[in-house]
Amino acid sequence: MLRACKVAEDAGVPAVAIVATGFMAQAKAIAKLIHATAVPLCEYPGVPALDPDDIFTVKVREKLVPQILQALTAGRDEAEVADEPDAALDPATPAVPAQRDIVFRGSLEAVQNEFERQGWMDGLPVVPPTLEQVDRFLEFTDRPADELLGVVPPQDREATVWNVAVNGVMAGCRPEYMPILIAIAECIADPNFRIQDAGATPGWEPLVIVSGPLTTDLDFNSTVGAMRLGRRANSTLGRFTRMFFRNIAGLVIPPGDTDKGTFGSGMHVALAENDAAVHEMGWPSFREDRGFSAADTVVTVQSCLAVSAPIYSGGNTGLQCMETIVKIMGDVQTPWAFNGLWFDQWHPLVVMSPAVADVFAKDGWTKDDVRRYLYENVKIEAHWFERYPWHIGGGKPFTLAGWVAEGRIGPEYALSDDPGRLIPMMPRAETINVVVAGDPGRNQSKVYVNNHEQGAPTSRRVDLPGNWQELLGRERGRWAGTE
Amino acid sequence: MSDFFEVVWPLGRTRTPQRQEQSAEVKAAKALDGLNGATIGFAYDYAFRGDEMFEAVKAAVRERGENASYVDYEVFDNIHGLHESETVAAIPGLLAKHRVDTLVVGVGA
Repeated sequence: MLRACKVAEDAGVPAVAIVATGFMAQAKAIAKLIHATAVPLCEYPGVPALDPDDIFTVKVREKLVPQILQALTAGRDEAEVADEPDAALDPATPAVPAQRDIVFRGSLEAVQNEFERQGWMDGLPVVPPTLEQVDRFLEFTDRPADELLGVVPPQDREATVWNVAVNGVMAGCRPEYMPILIAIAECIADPNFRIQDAGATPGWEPLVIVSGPLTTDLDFNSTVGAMRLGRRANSTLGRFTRMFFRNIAGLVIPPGDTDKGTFGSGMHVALAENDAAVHEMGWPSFREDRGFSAADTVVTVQSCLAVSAPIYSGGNTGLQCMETIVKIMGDVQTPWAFNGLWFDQWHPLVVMSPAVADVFAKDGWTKDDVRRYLYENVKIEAHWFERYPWHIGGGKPFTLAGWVAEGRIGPEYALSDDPGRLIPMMPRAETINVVVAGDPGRNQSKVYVNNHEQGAPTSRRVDLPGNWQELLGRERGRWAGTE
Repeated sequence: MSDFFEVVWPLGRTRTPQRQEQSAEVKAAKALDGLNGATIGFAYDYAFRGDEMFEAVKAAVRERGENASYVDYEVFDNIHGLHESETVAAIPGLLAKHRVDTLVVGVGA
């Protein structure tokens, strides 16, 4: 919304923004970041979607509108604008340190305390990022330390090979994960990922998926407990990703004001595809689905808004297994899936244990068959899609029939005017993703729900340094205590 | 591992200009002297009852005895919907096309 004000101001047209109380701090922060600090912020006091009509009317007439009229005219310069100092947006360090500058010296406990005080951590103790540790990480890439990987909103901070290594150290990664860390950072910095929306109220989290031979070389867990803390590669790469959101993108929960995730969720674990299993059953790997070679290792980062309950599937045919997958996939996506139509993007991820995937493969189903069946059979009653936007924000009602008439969606969404009619929950089959992982001995799947265009799956090939094998051998030696 | 550490900075340099530069940049658009004869545009993210708020603005202007004209939010499309970037990028052209003097944008952050 502030961006709309900004483009108007740049065009010489004064603009004012209406902001509900809960978003005032974030609005000020965003205004500073996009250089729109003179835009008056007119506050609606409270939560407009929850106020009764009579209260809403009084607040608008007596509180909000006077601010707007004042801001539109001569009183503009007296309206509230985002010009207050904001410590959360500026490095507490007076001057921006150079790469190799030492910013703090102290004991392990003192480092933790200082990083906590500065807001440079995720709330868990960090590994101190010493020059020695960072340099070990940098050995695992041929790319220069000062190479710019992207400028990452909302704080528009530079993501570099250097600060990727620093945060990798802090997250507890091993040095040889560095090529994967760089790929993760590149995914996040890609405009397709829309990191600027990661502080939105749904509170989505980053989900990292690693597919390829490095999952074996770097000891990822892709089997029992695949999404559980316990294996260093999975655990620390997931932690790094969230730390990157905070330290590089600058998405900070209170006392910061750039992250408005209502709840968010907890621990992050990188998901590794079970490469052997997927090839054994004759399905293409996830990286091949994403357009890469089977010989590559590919990182994909996407948003994750919700995780389904365990989906147990009985039977020895694809149709039998689909009974529960269809039901529970619909349950977890909830009416929130209307956003798939609203934004024309929806990328749910179905993770099948090898045992379940094997049933499909042996029954002759391709991954495309799975996608198509889910698209055609995961449905919701139409009234939910039309009503749920009102619950979210009291916004302007829309009808599916109206969207069909406008050509935004297909005729299948308005085959009758029965509000209880069943309509497809997902806009298309092609963007349903399937990964094979988890306990090979159990008949379970799970669905991970992305947040439409926000955190759309974004992939990068992992590039290794020329002396990868030598470096890896050395680190393994250290690990084994022989160096 | 020793119990004394010399550590480096974990953030990235920000590209946000210094405050003085921002102030100079945003002084370009001046407020109106009054609303009589002005054209007010409304841009909307289709949430948080902004359509009702815009109607209240129109009513208040009428009550002040000022005669403004309006460009409603449908003209600008949903600024937080499909093709958001393109929709926002199109705003300057629409402001010029409809000779909008000032823009009210809602709702949220």
